[in-house]
Amino acid sequence: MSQAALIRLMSWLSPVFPTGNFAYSAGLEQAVAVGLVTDEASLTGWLQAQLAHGSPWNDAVLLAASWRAAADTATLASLAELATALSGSAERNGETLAQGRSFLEAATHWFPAGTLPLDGASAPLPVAIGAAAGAAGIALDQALAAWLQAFISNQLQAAIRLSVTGQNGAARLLAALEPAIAAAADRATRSTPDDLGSFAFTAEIASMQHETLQPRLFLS
Amino acid sequence: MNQTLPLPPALQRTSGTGRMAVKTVNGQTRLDTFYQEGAAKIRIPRLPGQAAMEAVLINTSGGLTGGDRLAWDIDAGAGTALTLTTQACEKVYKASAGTADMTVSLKVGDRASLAWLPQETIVFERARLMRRLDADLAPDARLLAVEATIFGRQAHGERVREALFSDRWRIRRDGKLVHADNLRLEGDVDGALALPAVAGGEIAVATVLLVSETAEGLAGPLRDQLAACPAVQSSASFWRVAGSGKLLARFVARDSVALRKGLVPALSLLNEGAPLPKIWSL
Repeated sequence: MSQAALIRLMSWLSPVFPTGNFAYSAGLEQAVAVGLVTDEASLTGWLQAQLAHGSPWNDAVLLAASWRAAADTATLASLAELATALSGSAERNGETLAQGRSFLEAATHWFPAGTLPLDGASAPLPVAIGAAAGAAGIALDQALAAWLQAFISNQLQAAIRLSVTGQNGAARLLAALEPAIAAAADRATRSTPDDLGSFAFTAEIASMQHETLQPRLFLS
Repeated sequence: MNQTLPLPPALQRTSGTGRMAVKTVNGQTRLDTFYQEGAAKIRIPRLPGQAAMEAVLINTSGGLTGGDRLAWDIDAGAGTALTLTTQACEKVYKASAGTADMTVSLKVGDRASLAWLPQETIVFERARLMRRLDADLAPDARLLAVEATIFGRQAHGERVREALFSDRWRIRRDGKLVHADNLRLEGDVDGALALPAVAGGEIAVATVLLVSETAEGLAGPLRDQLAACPAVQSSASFWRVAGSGKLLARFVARDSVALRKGLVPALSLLNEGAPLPKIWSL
């Protein structure tokens, strides 16, 4: 992968990219509110389970399929439809669609007019990023590793705001979760849409319950 | 279901196909076409005074194991009201080879209402099950669907250390995908269920989906009802996909009895006054 591609990947997944990811906790806020996540140990377990059995795994599979379909408009449209239909709750649906829209708007800075896949379409975030990464010559395994790392970073940022850990603790968890991130990225690199599959019932229920949590810091 | 790789005779397993179409006759839901083959049987109890029809699906082989094929293909024509259930829990036994395959195809016509309310699936140690549910809805059709799954025979203290469970739903309305769900556990099921984000050590789970114009108004009452039921961990969410409103609820409980304490009132509420099959009473 070229240096330009690496810089591009890091830019798209950086906290400064205007997808508003700081506003979403992907259900973590509810998990903290009901005591499912209380400290670094339970947070580590929660995140490992999300990577192996939760919607973040499905998102990685969808990203991989979209990367492969970057030049195939019809397949991308059906992946966007599938990814939308797979959302587990109203908030998660809003989160992935709003972020996908923001990502596609901002990504136009890297593509000559008319060359950004899904430009102007409604696409969930992993589909939008996968297609853009495929079109930009970013290697799939790198895109997946960076995507999953960005998910974990964002969750840790949320965990800091939720007072589950601090910055030193987050660094400890980034190191501890490296093997889980790498394992999920490896699996996803070899995946096809047949590998979609989750079973994080408790996490899904938490995401639904978050809709009525008051007060709250996050949109999901 | 086309089977592209025929099994050698020694491994020949159960197969069954049940097909049924219903139509309206003078405002009443009545049988249109009917076909059953192999282990699949459909029984239609008489329900005097009811315009709706209930059909009970039966797998006469008493369970599924590796290599078994079971297919249900149901068509609820325009204006009909049909409730489907099963005679017994579907037990999925240890597979010595291959995977049990179950497919459910539902078609729901204009102004028709279909309730897919099978009893629980019980997944035993070393079971391998791949299940698919496809539903095609007309623009103003209504679908209520539940799938409840129990892992292991709790009375025997059996745990599930090695199994495959895959349940894939695709729900289309007016040709557009409005709901997809890919549930999957493979390998150490017990270990996965023990994770707090998965099921926190509970072994009974269920998903309920309602696609209907009335779904939005039922979301609040369902949430309130679920919040008041301590036996299950559950919640519900309503949103729109491709212009269709859908209400989704998930349940986790320690066993099938506790699960039903949450499910039965939820299904009663979402069935909007239509009676549930007798089998779905507490």
